[in-house]
Amino acid sequence: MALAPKVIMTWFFTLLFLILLALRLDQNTKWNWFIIFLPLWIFDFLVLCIQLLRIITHIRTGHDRHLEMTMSTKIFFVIGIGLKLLFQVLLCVRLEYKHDLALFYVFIPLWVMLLFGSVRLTPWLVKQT
Amino acid sequence: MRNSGNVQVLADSAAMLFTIKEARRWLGMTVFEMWINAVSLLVFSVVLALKGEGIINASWWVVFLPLFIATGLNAYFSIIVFVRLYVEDLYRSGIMRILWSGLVLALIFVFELLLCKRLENETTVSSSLVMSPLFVMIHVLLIRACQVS
Repeated sequence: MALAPKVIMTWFFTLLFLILLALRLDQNTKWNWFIIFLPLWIFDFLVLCIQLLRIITHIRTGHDRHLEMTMSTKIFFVIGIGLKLLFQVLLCVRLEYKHDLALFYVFIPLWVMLLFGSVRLTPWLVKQT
Repeated sequence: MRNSGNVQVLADSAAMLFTIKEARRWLGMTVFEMWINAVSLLVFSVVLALKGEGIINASWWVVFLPLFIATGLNAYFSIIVFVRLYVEDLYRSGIMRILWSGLVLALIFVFELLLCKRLENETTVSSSLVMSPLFVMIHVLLIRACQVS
């Protein structure tokens, strides 16, 4: 996919989420937090589908279509999306139903994701400078 | 509490779709800046969880310190890059780069500042007003995407 459709997709769902979030935080609505996060659920689902399709193409043809992502990058992305989804679900559960759920449990998926992300970005850092 | 939890979801919502190369082109950020952001978010979320659970009793300014530091470092880095480009006579790309990064960094800084003041109950602005820099920022990034592609 080219850059523009991806950017527009990201922009659209982020905008929608921000609007819903602002409404909810200002107490203008009393909607369930899972509904507030709906744009993000859809976005994550789309991203997951795109990545899985790329993995399938990779396996069938033996190489990446645009030769820009290795298999490990794609698998890493899928795991990342999974961790992010888990974090969002836990956050929604905490905000909506279980107010006494320890924050550490909510944040663990995020921490794992950020930790792996920053480790992954470091080799690039070394290569560049 | 709720605000800040959500900020993070927002911050990493786009990370999984783009390759590093595309992210660099779109955001005009180097990998170093992305790495700083990731690390500062990590530290911030740890401190946030500690505060949320009442283990430490720091003010919101202290909790947001990692994010402020990251914004400051990124601004410093942008200025260094600008000076380098200027010295090498690449005025146009240097000025373009510092304008884009400066704008985005300023918006992020205003957002963090407003959120912090709001959480400390120093102002009584509404959440939508606190988030207004983010609304501006995603449109700025949209325009930037048109420019680079």
